Parts: sequence; C-alpha cells; structure tokens
Amino acid sequence: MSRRALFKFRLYVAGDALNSAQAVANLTALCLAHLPDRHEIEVVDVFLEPKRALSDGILMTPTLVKLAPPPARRIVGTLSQTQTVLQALGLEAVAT
Amino acid sequence: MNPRKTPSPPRGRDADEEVSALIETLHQTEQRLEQLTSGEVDTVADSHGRTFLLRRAQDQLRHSEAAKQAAILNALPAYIALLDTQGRIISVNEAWQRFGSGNVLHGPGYEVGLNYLEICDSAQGDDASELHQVAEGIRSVLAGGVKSFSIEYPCHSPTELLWFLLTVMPLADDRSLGAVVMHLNITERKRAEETLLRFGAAMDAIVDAIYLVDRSSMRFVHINDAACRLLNQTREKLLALEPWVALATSRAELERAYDTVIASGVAAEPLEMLRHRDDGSQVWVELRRHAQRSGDRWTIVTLVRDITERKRAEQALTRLVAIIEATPDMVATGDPNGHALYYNAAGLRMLGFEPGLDPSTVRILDTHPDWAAKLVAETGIPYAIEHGTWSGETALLRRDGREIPISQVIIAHKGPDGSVEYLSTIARDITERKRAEAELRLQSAALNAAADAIVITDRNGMIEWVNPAFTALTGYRAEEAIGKNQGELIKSGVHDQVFYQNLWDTILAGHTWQGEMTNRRKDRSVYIVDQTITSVKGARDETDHFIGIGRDLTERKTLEAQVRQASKMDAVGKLASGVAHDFNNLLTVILGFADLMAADVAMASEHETDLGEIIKAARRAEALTRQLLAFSRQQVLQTAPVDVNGLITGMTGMLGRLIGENIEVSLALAPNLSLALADRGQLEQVVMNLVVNARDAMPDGGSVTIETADVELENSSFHAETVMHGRYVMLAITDTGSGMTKETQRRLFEPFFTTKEAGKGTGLGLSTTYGIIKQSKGYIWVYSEPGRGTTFKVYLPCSNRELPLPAVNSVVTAPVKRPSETVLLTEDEAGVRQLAKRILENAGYRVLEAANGDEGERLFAQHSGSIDLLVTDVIMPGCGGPELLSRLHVQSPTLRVLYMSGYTEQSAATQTGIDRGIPFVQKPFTAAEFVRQVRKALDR
Repeated sequence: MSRRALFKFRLYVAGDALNSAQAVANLTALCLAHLPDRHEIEVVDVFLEPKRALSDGILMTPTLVKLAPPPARRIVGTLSQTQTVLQALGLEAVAT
Repeated sequence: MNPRKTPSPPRGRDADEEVSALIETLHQTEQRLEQLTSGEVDTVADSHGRTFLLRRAQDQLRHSEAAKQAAILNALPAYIALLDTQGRIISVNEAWQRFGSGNVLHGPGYEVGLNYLEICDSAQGDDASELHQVAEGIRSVLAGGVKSFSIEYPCHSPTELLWFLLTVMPLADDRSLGAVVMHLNITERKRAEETLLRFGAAMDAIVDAIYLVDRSSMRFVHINDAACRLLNQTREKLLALEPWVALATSRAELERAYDTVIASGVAAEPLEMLRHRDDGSQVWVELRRHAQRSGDRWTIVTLVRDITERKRAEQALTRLVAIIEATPDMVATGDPNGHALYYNAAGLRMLGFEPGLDPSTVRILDTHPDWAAKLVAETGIPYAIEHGTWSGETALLRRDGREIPISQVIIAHKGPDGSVEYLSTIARDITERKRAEAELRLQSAALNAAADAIVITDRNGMIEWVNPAFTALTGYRAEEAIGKNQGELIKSGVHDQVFYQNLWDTILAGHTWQGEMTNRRKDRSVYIVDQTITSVKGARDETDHFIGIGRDLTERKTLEAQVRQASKMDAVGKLASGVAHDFNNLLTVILGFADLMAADVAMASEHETDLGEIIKAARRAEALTRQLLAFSRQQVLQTAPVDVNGLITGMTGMLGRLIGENIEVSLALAPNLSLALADRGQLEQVVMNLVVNARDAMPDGGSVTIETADVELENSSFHAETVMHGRYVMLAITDTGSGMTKETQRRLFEPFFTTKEAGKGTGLGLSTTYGIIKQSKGYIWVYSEPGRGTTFKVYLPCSNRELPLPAVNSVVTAPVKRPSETVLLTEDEAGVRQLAKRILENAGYRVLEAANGDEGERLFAQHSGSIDLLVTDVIMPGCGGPELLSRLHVQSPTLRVLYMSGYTEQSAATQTGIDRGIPFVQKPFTAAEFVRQVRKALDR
C-alpha cells in the first residue's frame, strides 16, 4: 500500500443528529491524525438527499464509505473506536 | 401525530387494540435497532428510501436546538421575551432576567407566565402612553397585521436617563407561534445622536462655512449651513458629492493640500481666493484648514470665511487712496496739535516737499503765509471743530517762499466722545482762477466804465446784461431791461422792417452789423446811436449771444449843430464887421464934415438946425455900427471893475420910462455884491436890451425882476459851453411873459433873428448882448417855457481889483501952439482922406496926401526928410499901411506912424500883423479925437 495513496471517504449523516455529528467529528480527527494531506471527505445528509442514500444502498446513518483506495469498505456508527476503524480501513499497519 | 388528521379514523375496540399493538411493535423495533447498532445510529432507511429518525436521536436533536436558541438569546445584549399567541411570556433570556429595577418587567419568576399585553395595558405613570403603544404593536404583530413593530422610548431611572428600542417580531412566519419582544438599550446611541445634533447646531450657528472631510475615504463628514450657502447647494446634495467635485478642484489637488496640512502639524496660513458661484456671482473667500486626528484617521477641518465685504472695502480703500494720490488737489491730514500726518502727492508737490517726506516733521501753520496761518488758526480750524467743516480762500507757503492762493476746506474728524481725533483738508490751487477773476473784474469794470451803452442779449435778443452807460442813455435800469427783448424795449419806429431784417440777417450769419440807429428812451424821447452788434459764439461754435455797443450820437449831432450855428454866427459877424467898417468910413466923413460945418460960425447960424439933425442921425448910425461891431466882438471894450448893483440902481429911472406903466420892475440885489469885470457902458446896453426884451414879451403887462448874486461856477460843460471855474457876479432878469419855445431859445442869440413883428426889432439886441457877454468872458443862459415866463442869467467874472477912485476931471489944456510938422496921409477912401486932410490942415499941419501905398512911397521919396508922421489906413488895396511903413523905414528908420482903421485895433492887428502899442485911431473919429491922436503920435 503506497503511503501516497489518496483516501476518498463518503460519510452519510442525518442532519445534526448526535451520532452523525460525532461521526463527522471523529472522521475529521482521524484523517488529520493519520491521513494528513491525502484524504477527501464528502458528507451526504440523507434528510437533504434521500434518493442518493437509496441509490447507494445506505440503510443507516451514520455510515462511512471508503471509496478509495480499493477495496471499498463500509463502516456504520460514530467511528469512536479509532483502532477498530483504522483496522477496518486497512490503516493499522501504517499506524504501528 | 394528530389522530384527527388521519384520513380514515379508526373506529371501535379493534382499532384501539391494533393501535396499541402497533405502538408496542414500534417501541420494540426501536429498542432492537438500538441494541443492534449500539446506539450509534440516528436514522434507518428501508429499501424504498423511507428514512426514520430514531426517537433518541429525535430527543437529542430537540434538546440541541433548544440549547442553541437559548445560547443565542442569552448572548444578545437585548432583553428578550418570547410570547405565545395570547401574549403570555413563554420564556425570557438571561439579560431579561438580570434586568431589574429599571424595567417595569421585574419581579420573581421574571414574569414568565404573565400576559405581557396585560402588563402593558395596565401601565401607569410617565411611560404609560408608550407602553399602550407597545401593546397595540404586539397585538398587530400577533394578528399578522404588521411584520414588525418598533418604538424608541425613554426609561427613567433615578440616576440616569435611559433609552430603549423595543422591537416586536413574529416568532416565525407562522403567526400562530407567537412573538419575540426585544428591548435594546440605545442610550449610548441616543447620546451620540444628541451630541451630533448639538454639534451640528453649533456648526450651523457659525457664520463661517465649515466642512469636514475624512482623509482616508475622501468623503464629506460634515457640512454646516454656511458651507451649503457658500457652495449654493443643499446639504444632501453636497454630502452625496465627492468633495473635489463640490469644491471644483481635482482629487489629487485636494489630497495634496490635505496632506500638506497633516504634515505641517500647525494651522496653515489662511488662503484668499476668488470663488465663482453657480449663479455666476463671485465671492472672495479666506480658507483655513487644520487636521484632526482620531486614531489613525485624519479629518480635515476647513473653515471658509466670506471676505467679499472686507475685500470690497479693501479695494474701495485702495481705489480711494489711488484717487487721492492722483488728484491735483492737495489732500492732507493733521493731528489736533498742529502736526501733519499725511500729504498726498499733490500736497507735497504744491508745498515743494520731497516725495519721501516724514509729515510729522511739518507744522501745519508753517505751510501757510502769516496772514493765511492766522485765518486758518483763528477762524478755519475753530469753525470746523464747531460745525464740522470750514471752507475759504487762503494760501500755501511753498518752501521756496512762493505764495500759492488756494481754495481750502478744513474738516474736523471727531471720535465717539466728541473730541477731535484729526483734521483733514482739501486745497485747490486757484492761481489761475484768481488771475482770471482779476482780469474779469477789470474787464467788468471797463464795461461798466465804458461811455458807450453795452447790451448783452441771448440769441433771441433777450437782454441779459446792460452797463451803466445803457441806463444813462435809455433811462432803463438794469433790472428793468434784463429779461426784455432789446428790440421791443427801445425800438423807435423810425426804421422799417427791412432795416431790422437786414440787421438780423447780418448778425445771425455771424457777421458784425454796424450803423446808425434811432432808438427810444424810457421817457419816449428818441436818441441816435452808432450801433455795433457782434455775435458771440459759444462752446459748440454756435452763436449764443450778441453784444451791442451803442455810441450816443445825440451829443455829437448837437455839437455838429452848434458848430454849424457858430460858423453861421461867425460868418454873419464877419459880414457885419465888414459892413460896419465901410459904414464907419462913411460916418467918419459925414460927422467930420458936419463938425467942420458946425465950426464955421457963419454957416452954422444959417443951417444950425439942419446940421444938428445930420449930426444926430450920424450919431445913431454910429451907435448901430458899434452894436454890429460888438456882436462881432470887434468892438473895443473898456473893461474895469463895475459895481453891478450901483449900475442897475442908476438905470432904474431910465428903465422905468423905457418899459411903461403896466409893467412893474422889482429889484433883488444881493448886498455886498462883488465887483464884476466888465465894460460899464456895454453892460448898461446889456441890461437895457434884456429889459426891453422882457417888456416886449409882456404886451399885456406883468413884472420884471432884476436880481444879482455872487456865485461860484465849477469847471463844467453847460448848454454845450465850457464853463471856467471861478467866482462870478450873477445878474438875472426874469419876466412873467409869454415864454419861449425850445426852438426860439435855440436861435435866440442869432443876429437878425426876431420874433417881433417887422419894424419893431432889429434882431440885433440879444445877439449883441451875447457878443458883449462872451467878450467879457462871461456867460448868458436862458431859462424859459412857453407861457411861464423867461429868465436870462448873466454871469460876469468877478474883479479882483478895487473900484477905481473917480478920476479927477482935470483936462490939461496945453498952450495952443501952431504945429509946423508935415504929415503924409495915405487913405484909399477919398472921403475920409479929404476929411482927414481938412482936419489936419485946420489944425495947422502941412499935409501930403496919397490914395494908396505906392503913391505914399513916391511922395515920401520926393519930400525926403521933411515928413514927420505917416498917417495911414491899415488896409488898402495893394500896399497896406504896415507894408508902407516898413518900406519907408528903410529910408527913414525913425519915421513915426498913426494907423487908422474901421476895424478895432485888435482885429486890425490880427489881420495885418501890426504891433500892438503903435498909435491907432478907430474910425469914425471926431476931429478933436483925430488931432489929439496925431499929436500923441508926434510926441512919442
């Protein structure tokens, strides 16, 4: 895995709902800590764009989708378990 | 969810049970989803895209929203309350809660739950009216009538005056949600506004235009009223304009000017400039700028003062000074102590001072000659101090000692307390005027002194001025003549229309008219003038005046008449004397032979009576001849001192007989009358002639007064005669008779002029009288008017000698001695020659007779040495008596002579050049007289 790979994320949230807000905060903090200068985050509010969530097959919010690098992964929840999230994203080795 | 809004409301127990079952399912579903997602999911969605917000997430969101709202409300400095649709207070923010005593909305629980509308409605006191308005506003908002309502209101606290802004807005667009009431403390803003208002009012009260420009933004910050007026724009328009546009300059220019002010740090020198206003007028302004710093911003304050009036005054002053310096009159000022303060250029020039003179070194009175200094000091300045100004004619004294006559005005300038601050004077050099005045005065005097009548008329002949000679000539005084038409005033009617037409044509053409003109005096008598009329051209070269000069010809005409009369008299005299001369020869013969015959006793006895008649007639003829000679003034007068009173007294008897009984003679003789120098016999003749004349004037009787007096005559001209000054004896003879016309008076003394009927007068009486008086160096004048009698006045020169003593009548009869001398008698008149020969031979002389000079000379030559005396007529054809004598004197220088002549000795002497003093016998002579004269001549 190249250290130079760009991580593209899409985070589905439900407005200002507490879990969604926590997910946005946790993702932002994680990216700044582990993926500085090589990440993109797109936040999609399902209240505002319900059809997009439908087409992407999102059943719950908050849901994080890693679009790049492959493989694509989905994580549901507030992303507060950092190590778990890093593992899920394939970033554990880098972190250690 | 509101069950009533479901489309198909459930009915019955089954429905209730189903609802209960569904809610249980919902609850259990949510619990299970929480378990599955560890509570970390907010929403779930089904495959149709229906999203469900989980109840916990919903609660969290609601609390979060409420917290945010509260935080915002609490963060605001305003006092905020939320009202429900009924106006009840639902909640208040922290500021509301903190706000206590100053607001009506105080109390435990912060009034939450109270109805705000009721609180406002029930308000009383100072704020009641505002709160009632607030209530109305809130109601409007709650009712949806207005979107918002706001009001500013004061809120009195014991310590300070506070201002609040109350704003009411709907809680949301949906009015059913209630309203927000917000009180904002705007005290600071209000204070700022008031400060600004006061600042603006103060600025507007200043007459100078003031405008403030922010240097950074280059925008007007403030413009006062005066600036608006100066720039002739409204404040709104000016504030919208960029300053450089409003001030008609460029931005760069203005910025540079402002930066200079900022850099200099002090108030710059005021600038003066001419500004053109929109309406085209011009104003002079004075510009002062200074920079005001506030933080790092600079405000440029510009003061513009309208100095148009000051400028005008300055310019007026400059012009006045220029005028004063340029005027040719002296303008000067001096202090009350008599020292000069200022002289203009003309003043320095007139006084001979240098241009750079320090006037304070000059004493005012030193610039006048003594007499003028006295006038200025004693009259001029005191009068000016009392009355403000004095004017008069004085003089300046130049430094070179020359005196300049001036016309001077002195002005006293007083301070508010009435004391004299300084004196000023304006003086004009009147040298030229003085000279012209003197010349005019002399010219005027000349015109007034002129003997000719001078008249100045306007173009139409209207008299504007006459000289005294005009008045003397016409009798019209100046005030009577001025304003009258000259032609109408003195036109005599003698001249025809053509005459005057010609005159006017001539003078209107600018030529001089000259000619004789007969005019009429005020007393209607006419006079003749030699008139000259000259036109005078005025400034525009047009005739505007005429000058008429009239020389009175009346006197000349009179003199001419007198000369003619005198010539006539002279000619008549000559004729008379010639006749008398021949007459005397005849009478000499008649009387001589009559005497001889009378001496012959034999003859006499026979013809005594006849002879006596011949001799009487001859004597009368002799008297007549003497009168003729007297008239021609060729009679010998024996003048001697005469007592005229005595003479008249002696004549009274004779006069009484002469004039008859119906005429009374009265005498008015002055006592102690001086002696007159006259021929007594001739004077008797004069008195007799005048008395006879008086008698003849009074055929029906009357009275004659003879009067004498001593008088003194001055040198004068009277009745066209030149009167010699001296003392005279006046003899006046006045009758009460018929009087005389002027014409008669004029011809009175002409010989042969008589008013008496033919045969009654010779016409020689008065002319003889005239001749006698003239020969006596006296005067005779007549005063008479028809019907009012006549007075003759005779003036005889006084004698300065005493009356001679009566001569002792001692006729010394020499012893009769027969003469033996031989006489050469030369006489062209045969009768006279024969008579003379007979007389001489009777007396014993030997007589040689010759009929003329040549014959006499021949006879003398033949009897050389024996002739003792030449008796000769003076005037003879050919060689006359004097010539004969001179021829004979060649041969015999000692030859004696006796002249004979019918002329008087005087007349003969004049005509022939014989020496006075040579023996002379006037014809006719008596034998005795002739013999005596011959003897006298021989005995010389």
